[in-house]
Amino acid sequence: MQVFKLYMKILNKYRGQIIMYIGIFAGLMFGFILPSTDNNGATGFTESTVKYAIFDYDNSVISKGIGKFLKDNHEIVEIENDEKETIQDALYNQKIHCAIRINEGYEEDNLEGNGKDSLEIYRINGTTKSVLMEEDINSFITIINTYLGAGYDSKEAVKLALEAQKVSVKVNLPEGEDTSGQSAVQFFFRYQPWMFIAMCVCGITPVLIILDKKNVRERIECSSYKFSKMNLEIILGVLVTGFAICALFSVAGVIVFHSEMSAMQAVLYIINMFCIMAVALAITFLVGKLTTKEQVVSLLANIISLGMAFLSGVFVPIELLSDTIIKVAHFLPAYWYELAVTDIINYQSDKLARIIQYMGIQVLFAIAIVIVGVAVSRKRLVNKSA
Amino acid sequence: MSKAIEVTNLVKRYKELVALDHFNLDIEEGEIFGLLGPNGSGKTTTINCILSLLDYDKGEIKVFGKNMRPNSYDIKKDIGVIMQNVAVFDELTVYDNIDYFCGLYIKDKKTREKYVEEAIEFVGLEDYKKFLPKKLSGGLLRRLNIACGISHKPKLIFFDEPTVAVDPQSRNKILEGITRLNEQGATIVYTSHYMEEVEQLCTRILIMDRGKNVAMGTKEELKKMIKNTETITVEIPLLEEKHIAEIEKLPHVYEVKYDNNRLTVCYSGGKHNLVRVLEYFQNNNIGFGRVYSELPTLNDVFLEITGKELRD
Amino acid sequence: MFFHNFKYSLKTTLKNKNTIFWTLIFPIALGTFMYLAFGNLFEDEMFDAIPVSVVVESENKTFEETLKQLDKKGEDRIIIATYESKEKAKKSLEDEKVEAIIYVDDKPYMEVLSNSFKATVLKTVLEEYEKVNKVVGDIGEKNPLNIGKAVETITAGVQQYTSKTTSEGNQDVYTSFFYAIFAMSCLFAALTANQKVHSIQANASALGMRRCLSPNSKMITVVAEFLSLLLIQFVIELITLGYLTVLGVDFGEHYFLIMLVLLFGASIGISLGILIGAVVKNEKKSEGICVASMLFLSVLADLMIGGIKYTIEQKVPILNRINPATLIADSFYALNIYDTYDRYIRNIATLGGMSIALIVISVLVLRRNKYASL
Repeated sequence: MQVFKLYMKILNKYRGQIIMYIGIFAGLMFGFILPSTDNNGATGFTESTVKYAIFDYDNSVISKGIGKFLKDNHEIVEIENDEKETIQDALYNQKIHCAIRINEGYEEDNLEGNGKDSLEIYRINGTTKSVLMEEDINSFITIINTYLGAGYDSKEAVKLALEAQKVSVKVNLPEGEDTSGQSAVQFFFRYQPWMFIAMCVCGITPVLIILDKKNVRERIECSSYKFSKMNLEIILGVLVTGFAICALFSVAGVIVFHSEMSAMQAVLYIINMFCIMAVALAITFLVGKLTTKEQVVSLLANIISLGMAFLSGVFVPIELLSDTIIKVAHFLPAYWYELAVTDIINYQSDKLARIIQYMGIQVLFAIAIVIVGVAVSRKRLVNKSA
Repeated sequence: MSKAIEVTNLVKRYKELVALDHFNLDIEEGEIFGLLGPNGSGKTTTINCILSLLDYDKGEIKVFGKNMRPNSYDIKKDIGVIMQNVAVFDELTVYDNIDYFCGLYIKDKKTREKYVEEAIEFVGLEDYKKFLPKKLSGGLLRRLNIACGISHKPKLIFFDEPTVAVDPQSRNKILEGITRLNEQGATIVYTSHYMEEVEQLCTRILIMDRGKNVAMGTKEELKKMIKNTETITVEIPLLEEKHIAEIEKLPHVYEVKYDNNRLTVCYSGGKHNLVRVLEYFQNNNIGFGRVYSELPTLNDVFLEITGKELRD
Repeated sequence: MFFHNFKYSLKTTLKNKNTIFWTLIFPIALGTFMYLAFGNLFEDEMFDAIPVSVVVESENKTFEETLKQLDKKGEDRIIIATYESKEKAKKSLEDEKVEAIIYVDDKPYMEVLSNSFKATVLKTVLEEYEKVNKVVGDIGEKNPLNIGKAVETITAGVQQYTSKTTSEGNQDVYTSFFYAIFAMSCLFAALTANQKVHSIQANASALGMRRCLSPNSKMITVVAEFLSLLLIQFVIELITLGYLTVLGVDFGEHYFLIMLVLLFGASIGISLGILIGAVVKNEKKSEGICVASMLFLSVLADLMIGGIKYTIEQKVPILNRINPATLIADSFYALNIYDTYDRYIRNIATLGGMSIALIVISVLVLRRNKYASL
C-alpha cells in the first residue's frame, strides 16, 4: 500500500482546498440558509414579496387603500425620507426594491384621469421585483377606477377592490407534495454538484498531477511495484477521498434534516450523492490529464463546476431554463442529478424506477468521462514517444 | 593590490544550528579564490551573506572596500553571480534571458546588444539563441545560467558549484571560461566540493567545515601544512609481519598499513621514496603487482585537519 | 530600467500561453454558459403557451369565456387547452402531456403535479381573470348599465403610475450575473500575480535570487510586474466585455465607465495576488490561499448565491465597503442606480486606494530583501 499511503500524504498537503469548500458550504448552510428558513421549511429569500417604502402625501381614502393593499401583499420598509439620495442609497443597499410616492391631490387627479402624474414609483430599471410591484399597483388602481367609473364612491371602491384581491384559484396538489419554495434540504442537496466538482478538482487533481509527474511515475515504475497495482492504489485513494466526503455530507445531512425526510428519501439522497461524487471524481481524473499546471486547475475547476451548475439547474431552477439549454443539459451529468433530487423531494414509490434510471445515467457519465481521460493520456504518451 | 572582499567575524545562525562561526575571509582583486568544503559546510551561506541576500547575526562584510547592503546598487552593479540552481525564465529564449538580465545592469541599448552577443559567444551558445531553456541539455543550460550571470562584465564573479551535474565537455568549457574571465581582469570566487577543480583553477583556496575557516592559502601552502608528502600503494599478495616492521624503518616513512593485499606507505618528505621501497622488495624477494605513488591532494589536507573525508 | 522590466514581464506572461488561455476562457466560458442559461429570458419569449386539460364539472359561462380568451391563437396565447373527461385529463397529467388540469366550476380550480413555475404562472393568470369577473359581476349587480364602460376601463390597460428610474442604467437580475463574472475573473488575476511575485523573491525561487542581486530597487520591479499584468488582465476583461456585448448582453450606456471598473477591478485582483505572494513564501500554499480568499470574497459578494450581501449590509456594513468583490459588482450597480457618480467614484476610489495600499505593503515586505534563510 505504499502508493496509497503516498497519495494520502500528498493529499494531506492539499486538504486545505477541500476543507475550504466544506467550510464555505457549512458557512452558507448554518450562517445563512438555516437561519433564514421559517418553520415551514421554505427559505425567505425566494419569496415573491417586494420590499418597498411608501410616502403618502395625499392621505386620502384611495391613497390609504393603496397603502393597505401593499401592506397586505408586500413587505414595507421604513426609510428616513423620500429624498432622491436616500432612495438611491436604500435601493443600492438592497434595503428596498422600490419606493412609492403618492403626491398631494392624488385622489382628485385620479378622478380627473391624471392620477398617473401624482403616483410615482422609484425603482431600478429592469429588475423583476420592480416589474412585479408595478403590475400589482396597476391592477389594483385599475380595479378601483373601474368601480369609481361605475358610480361607486371612493370608500366602497377601495373596499371592493381590496376584496377583489382576495379572489384566488384553488390549486390541488397530490398529497405530500412540497408546496413551498426552495427549502433548506433542497439547497443542501441541489448545490452538491457544484460543491463536489469544485472541491474534488481543486483538492485531488493536484495530487494526481504530482503522482503523474514523469520522473515520479518512472521512479515508481522502476521499482518492483507492479504498474497495475500502483494505478489501483491511486484509484483506491481517490475513491476513499470521495467516499469520506460523501460520508461526511451524509451524516451532516441526516443529522440536520432527519425530521424533514423519510428513511427512503434519505437513502435515495445519499445514493444520488454518491453518483454525482462518482462524476466529480471522474472529472477530477480528466482534468488531471488535461493540464499539469495548478493555476490552470483552479481555473478549470471553477469553469466546469460553475458552468455545469448554471446549465443543469443547480443555481437556476430547471423550469427557468430554455428548451435549448435543457437539451444541452441532457449531456451534463448534474442535470440528471437535479432531476433525481426533484423526484426525491416529492418521493412516491412509483417514481423509484425513474430515480434509479437518473442515477444510472450519472454513473454512465462518470464511466464515459474516465474513458475520455484514459484516451487523452494515451494520446499524450503517443505524442511524447513520437 | 586592493581587497575585493573582506569578511570579519561573520556569524550566521539558523535557529539552533550555527552555520557560520566567526568566519573570516579576505579576497584580493584579480584572484581566483576557491571555497572548498563538504556539503553543508557553509559555502553557499557565506556567499549569500556577502551578497547581502541573507541576514546575519554578527560580523562585517565589505565588498570593494565598502559596506555591503541590500541597496548598495553601486557595488551590486559590479557583481555577477552564477548560482547553484539554474535561474532563468522558462518562457524566454536564450537570447531574451541574457538580454533581460544584462538589461538589469546595462541601460544603454547598443552596449547591451554587444555585451549579450559577447556573453553568448563566451559560453558557446551561438547556435541556440532562439531556443527555450526547456530544449537545452543540462550542460547547455548551465552555460546559459553562466551567460546570464556574466553578460554585464562584472568585476567580481561568484560561481557557486557551477559544474554540479554537468557533462565533462561542458565542464571543461566552463572551467576554461572561468580562467578566461580571470585573465580579463575579473576576481572570481569559486565554490565547489570537487577538489580537483579547485586545485586546477584557484590561486588561493579556503577550506571550510561546519562554518569555520579550517585552512587557507595557495594549494602548495595548504599541502605543506600537513605531514604527508607522498603515499605509495603496492599490491602484494602475501606479506609477512616482519617486513611491515622493516618497511616502517625506512627513511621518511611515518605510517604503514597492510590490508586487503595492499600495502600503503605514507611518507613525510624525502626524495626517491619509491625507489627505496622497491629496492626493499627486490632484496627480500617479495613479489608485487601494481604500484601507485600519489602526491597529497586537498582531500588529504582536509582529512588530516578535520579527520573527515571531503566527500562522503 | 522600468521599461526593461515591464517589457520582459509582459513577454514572460504572454509566453505562458496555457495560463493566458485559461484566464481568458474563464470569463468567456462562464459568460457563455450564463447567457445560454438565461437566453430565453433575454428575448421576451418568456414562456411558450402552456398545455392544459380542461374538465367541465359544472357550467360557468364567464370562466369558459375567460379560458377561450387565454387560448386565442397569436403571440399572447397563454394556454393550449384540451377539453376532455376527468379520467383522461388525469392520465394526461400523469404522463406529463399537460402541465395542469383546469376544472370549470362555480369556483374554478386547478390540479398540478408539482408546484412549478408554470403552475404559478397559470394560477396568477386565472386569478387575474377571476378578479375581473368579480369586478364586472359587482358592477353588474348594482348598476348594469355601466358594465360596458367598466369592462372598457378594466381592460384598457392604462398605466396608473409614473415610473421613475434613478438612472438610465439597466439592472436586471441577469445582467448582475455577468457583473459577477467580471468580478470573479478580476479577482482570479490574483493567481497569475501570485506566481509572478514569487519569481522576484530570493527566498522563493532561484530566479528571484538572481533578480535580487541586480542593482535595481524592488519598487521598480514590483510596479513593472503589476502594470504589465494589469495591462494583460485589462485586455482580457475588455475582450470578455466585447464578446458578451456581441452575444447580446445589455450593459447599458456607460461603456467607458464600465471599462474603468474593469481596470480597477483587475488592479485589485493583481495587487491582492502580489501581497499574498509577498507574505506567503511557499508557492503552493500561497496559491491555495489565493483561491480560498477569492472564493470567500466572491461568496460574500453574492457572486454565487444571492442574499448574503444583504445580510452583511444589515450586520457588518463595513465589510461590504471593503470587500473587493462587492466593490466591483457594486460599481456596476452604482452606475445603474444613481444618476450622480458619487457612489461610483467612491467605489472606484476605494478599489484604487486599496490597490495602491496593497502594492505599497507588498513593496515594504519585499524591500527588506535580506532574508533569514533562503
